[in-house]
Amino acid sequence: MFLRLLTLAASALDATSAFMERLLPFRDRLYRLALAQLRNTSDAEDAVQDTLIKAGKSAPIFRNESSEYTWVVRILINQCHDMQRSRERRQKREVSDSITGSAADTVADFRKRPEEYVELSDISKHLMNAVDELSTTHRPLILMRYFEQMSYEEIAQSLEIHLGTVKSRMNQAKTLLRAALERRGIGEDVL
Amino acid sequence: MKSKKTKPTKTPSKLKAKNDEAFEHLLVTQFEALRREIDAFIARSQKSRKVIGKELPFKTPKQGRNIPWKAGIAALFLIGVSTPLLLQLNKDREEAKIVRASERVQSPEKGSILQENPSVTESEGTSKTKKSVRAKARKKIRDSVTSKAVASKNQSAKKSLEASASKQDEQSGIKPRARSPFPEPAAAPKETPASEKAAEGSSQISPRSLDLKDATAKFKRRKNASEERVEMESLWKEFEKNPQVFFQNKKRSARLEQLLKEYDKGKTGRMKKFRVQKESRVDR
Repeated sequence: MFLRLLTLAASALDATSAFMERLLPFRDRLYRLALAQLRNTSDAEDAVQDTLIKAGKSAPIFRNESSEYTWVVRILINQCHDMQRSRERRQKREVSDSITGSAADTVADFRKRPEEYVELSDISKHLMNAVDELSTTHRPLILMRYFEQMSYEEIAQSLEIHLGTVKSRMNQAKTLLRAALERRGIGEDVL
Repeated sequence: MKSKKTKPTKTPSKLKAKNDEAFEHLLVTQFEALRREIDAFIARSQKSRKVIGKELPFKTPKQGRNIPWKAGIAALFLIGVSTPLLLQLNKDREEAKIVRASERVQSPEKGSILQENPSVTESEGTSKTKKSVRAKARKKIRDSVTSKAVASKNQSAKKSLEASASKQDEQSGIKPRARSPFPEPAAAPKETPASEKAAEGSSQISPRSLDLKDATAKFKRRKNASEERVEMESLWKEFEKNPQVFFQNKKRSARLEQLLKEYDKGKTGRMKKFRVQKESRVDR
């Protein structure tokens, strides 16, 4: 019994390490995607690390229906979304603390270093802000399609949904994004 | 007012399709620009921080090297866990065997009851009795071990003594008895009827040497006999010189008579002579 458990654990460890080794070549691409979403180097590094760890842990669940990369991209996008939400919450707390005058002044936030933030053009900033406004169902579709240049089939495999669903959701996402961009005054001449 | 002639407007669907294409194009170009910007930023940060890889301290596991390590660690762990368990199990089994054997030896009747209804006896048996039985069993084992050790010690002492004796012989010039490499054949017993009977009668083997007490007693007896013989000889000489005077002392005559009875036993005819003299004196 004990021996069986031990062998199972060893095999799981082997599978995880093998899977993570296969993911390592995509690290730079994942980092780029994370940086585009979070626009902060340290946050992006954290996101990539957490994503790889999550992917490694859930390696036995991976069914080889899609490529490893498309599968990890989905995890990364969700991870970035979680981090953004937690960051927003933290910022809100800091603001409330500064209003009430509590200990926020004494605690230094090391993430506010200017060299860590990505310097983007105004159009790119607005574009990413508009993407951030999208819901969790639409955002991955836009990022996968236009940033990662994935095909509809690949997106369908990655998100484990039908191709038709991908297409319909993509249309919805585009409409929402267009509206968000219009509000920012981008692409008015085109639209 | 002249109404302005406007160009026929495009149908909404066509407009929409055109707009969609344009928006698609916009998205593609903008995201491409974004990618380029990010790549440039990464390149810049790489230059300043040298390598991104160092920023991500993610150690790559080397599969080929790890397997024997893992197997070795697993094997060591298993051995470490299983060996004490096995040892404990064996010990318990042995103890249980000893306890059972001792219980059978001590009380065969109880043993039968145990076989019939072991649950009852187990419940009845107190921890004290169990402990005492175990202690007795351990003591037995210890005694046997100590007796063996003593025997081996004695043997070694005997060997050392023999070795020292042979050395002394060599020093004094006596040749040591050459020992044949083969064991000496046992002397064939004489097949006499008496010995056969004795062998039949007593199955025990008689010891070669006497006990120390018996030997001293024998030695004393021999010594006394020789002394008495000397006394008898001196008394006989006195008797031969003058029997009439000798018989006057009754103690001496009685002593000579006793000694003659014991040692002479009519071999030399002294006893006969002594009796004749005695009778003639009585007749007078």
